[in-house]
Amino acid sequence: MTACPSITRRRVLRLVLGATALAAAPSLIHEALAATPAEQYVERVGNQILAIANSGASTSRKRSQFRSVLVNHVDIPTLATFALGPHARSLDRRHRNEYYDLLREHIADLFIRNLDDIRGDRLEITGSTRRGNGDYVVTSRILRRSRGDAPVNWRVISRGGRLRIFDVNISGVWLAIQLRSEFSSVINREGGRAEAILGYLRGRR
Amino acid sequence: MAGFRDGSDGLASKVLAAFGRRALAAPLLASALVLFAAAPAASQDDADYDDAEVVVADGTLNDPFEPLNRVMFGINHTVDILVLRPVAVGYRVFVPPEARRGVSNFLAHAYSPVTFANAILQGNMERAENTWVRFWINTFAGFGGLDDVAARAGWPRYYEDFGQTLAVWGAPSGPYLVVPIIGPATPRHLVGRAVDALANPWTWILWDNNLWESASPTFADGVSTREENIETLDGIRQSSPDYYTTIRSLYHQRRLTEINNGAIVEEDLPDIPDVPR
Repeated sequence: MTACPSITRRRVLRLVLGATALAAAPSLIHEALAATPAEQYVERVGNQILAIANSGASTSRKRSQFRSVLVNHVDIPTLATFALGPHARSLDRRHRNEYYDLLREHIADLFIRNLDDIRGDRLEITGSTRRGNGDYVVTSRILRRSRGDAPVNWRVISRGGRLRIFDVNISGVWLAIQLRSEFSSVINREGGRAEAILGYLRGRR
Repeated sequence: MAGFRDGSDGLASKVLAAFGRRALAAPLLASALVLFAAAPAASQDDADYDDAEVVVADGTLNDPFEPLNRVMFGINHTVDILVLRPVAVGYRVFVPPEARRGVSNFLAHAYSPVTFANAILQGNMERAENTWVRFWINTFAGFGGLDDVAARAGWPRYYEDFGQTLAVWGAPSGPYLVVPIIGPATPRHLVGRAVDALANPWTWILWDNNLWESASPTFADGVSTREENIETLDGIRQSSPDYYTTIRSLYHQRRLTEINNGAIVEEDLPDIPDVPR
């Protein structure tokens, strides 16, 4: 008689725990599958860029809209510093703001030049990983009915509690890495003077 | 940069134009092996190359033969402007888009055995299976490969080569090179090309034909790829501060993407500087 209540309590406890686990499982699974903040951010910004590319607006209007996206969502100072590589330290502080502005315009020009590569039906997020503290890689693809889907990867960083885009990879090429390679070539050609990048970017406007 | 053939490392590498695989395979293999042995150290700290160490401190690709490479690049660029690009433009003008697409599909289809074999060697059974299925679907339902029916049915096209296989096996890439006609390469990539050329069934099917006939698939591939990349390369050439440097960086990044099958290897990504606000 004494053993029966224990067994019964143990059985009931198992049943209750099991039921709780079953009830929690869908929400746990949902949590695991739910988009991370970085993924949600990229989906929002990425579809914004896609909408600009797909719109029937004029080239200058698209450029202006994309420039707003750059201002609001791309960490230009960090990208600009990265693009200078080891020469970043030697760029005079007086020139930094101008450099940031010129780089922003340069990226806007690149966007316009590569509009065809960016157009598509929808941006689909396919996953993400956390590379380090506040450093995320989000994978996605631009879905296109008329031609093959295009893989696009994003590097998102968290600065001051805010997510910003640092780099984007289209068809295997990271923009920031490509810029660093080209800027290094410009600066090395001018005897290692970091200020040479300003002349180069001004000349491209 | 979109526009390069699916998964390929773009025009500069696709311009194999080997004038017959058999003619160049052996000297290509020998040259690559010599370069492997003779390559200077990628960094002062470690004499062994691997893809991560090929990138030096300022983010550029280690290019110990840069002066010679630039000369070769200039020669290749001149040949491209004077010969290959005009031929590609003519191909576009005189051959309808549907026919060009058929040629492109057929050439990719003909390369399937090489992709299949390399997928097996890399232990990538998913890609091997995909390539196998694609081959038979396109052979029978795609008019011998002219129509990529398999892609529309959900079997995407992949591209594998022996250079990628060597990378997966851990072979170092060696220094960046610009090879006459072939374009950007590394010793590992060249060895891979030579092995693929010898392993390609078309090499043996056309073995007894004359040089022009045996070179025709390579020539067709070069023209077809060049036509697909006319605007892309024109844009790069016009917008780049240094065409040589830009192509070098694009080659390196695209090659890494191919080796990693499009996956991002987080450890290989550079660190992001901490910029004070």
